[in-house]
Amino acid sequence: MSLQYFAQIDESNIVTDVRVVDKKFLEANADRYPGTWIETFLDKPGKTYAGIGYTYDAANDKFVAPEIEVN
Amino acid sequence: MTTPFPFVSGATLTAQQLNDIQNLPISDKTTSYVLTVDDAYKRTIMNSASATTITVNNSIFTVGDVIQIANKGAGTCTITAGAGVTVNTSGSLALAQHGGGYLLCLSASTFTFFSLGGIGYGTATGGSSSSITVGGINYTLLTFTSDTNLVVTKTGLFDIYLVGGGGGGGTSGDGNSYAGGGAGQIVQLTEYLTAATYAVDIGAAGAGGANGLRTSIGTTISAAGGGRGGAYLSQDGRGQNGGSGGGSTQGGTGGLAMALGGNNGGNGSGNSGSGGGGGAGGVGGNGSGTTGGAAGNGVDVSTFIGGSTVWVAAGGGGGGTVTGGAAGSAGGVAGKTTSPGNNATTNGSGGGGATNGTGGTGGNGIIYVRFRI
Repeated sequence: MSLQYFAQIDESNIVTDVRVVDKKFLEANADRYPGTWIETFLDKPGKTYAGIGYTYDAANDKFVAPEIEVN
Repeated sequence: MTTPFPFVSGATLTAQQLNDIQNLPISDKTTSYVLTVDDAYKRTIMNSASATTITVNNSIFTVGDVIQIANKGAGTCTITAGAGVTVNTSGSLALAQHGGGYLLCLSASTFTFFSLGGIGYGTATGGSSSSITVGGINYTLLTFTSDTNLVVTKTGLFDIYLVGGGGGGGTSGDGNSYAGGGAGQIVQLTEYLTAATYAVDIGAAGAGGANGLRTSIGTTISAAGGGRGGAYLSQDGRGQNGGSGGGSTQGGTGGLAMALGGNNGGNGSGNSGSGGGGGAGGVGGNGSGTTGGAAGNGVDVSTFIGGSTVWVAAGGGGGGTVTGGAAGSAGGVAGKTTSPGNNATTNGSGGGGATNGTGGTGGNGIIYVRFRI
């Protein structure tokens, strides 16, 4: 079975954590996974895998990499 | 020394024999053995480099008989109940080297083994279970690739091998090259765990431009994630610190290994040849001209899990505008001259650096837990 990934987002839709976790396990352990979690996909065409600091675009259901900080 | 035990009617004992009774006879064994009535009140000592058994059968011993059993060989010696026999213990019937204890007969078919001589291995469930043999010793291996629980069903020792998530390759979009991600930390230890349920968290792979995440068991055992590769105009192009450091670009110094056993990322060469990410087995290569630095080597985990070579925790090759950094032969992926970068293909490894785009993702962490059987 392929692995599932979920990204935790804060109130500003910024990704604060990413877990490798089965959806059923995540849902059954809400105390261990507090807050809002959105599924993200690694190696799936058309999907961007989330990293900490990425922003979740809810309207388009995708994760966007942060802008690079210029010195 | 010898004693006249068991005594027979009419025997005459010398003073020496009476004194020797305090020092029980030793019966050395080098292969699996089935106890006989003559082993009562003697010391049966196994000495074998391979796994062996000492079997106790039904209706051999008398209530109250005691047999001392010890194992001085490297192979695990397991006390085994014959047909219809029950052997109870609060410890383990699998005797590691220099382990031992007393086998007490409570009935013709019931025994208690009082384990002495150190702490034995525990037992647990969780993840994917398999049987392995490493160095002639048999283990149950639990492999964890996603978050779940480790359920320790019997207190004892466990050999544990954790790998943090690999860092992603550097990411930007300005036409320059970006560096490879660093490997997650490797932590190997033997830990005494009491019977309980422990949360297992597998460090997720770092996305392009993001660090790898921490892998852990419970609250005290963890391995750090790898640092992401550096990107142009970001913090002087420097890779992030981590279990192993990400490579750098823009002439910057490679990210540092902040964890025991990690290695630094490679340095960048201007904006065209970025450094390779550090691996658990070696530093990331420096970028040179328009060529990216090579990926830092990973580590072969088969020394822990047995079988053929399995690489973990390599770095990612640095991106280059003309030539990507080499993958090497120890679990790494190459850097690229285009985007996106190569994703890591081994657990805990850094993603490859790209040019003008998104770095490759790292590899997820992993946990191996083994205990002797």
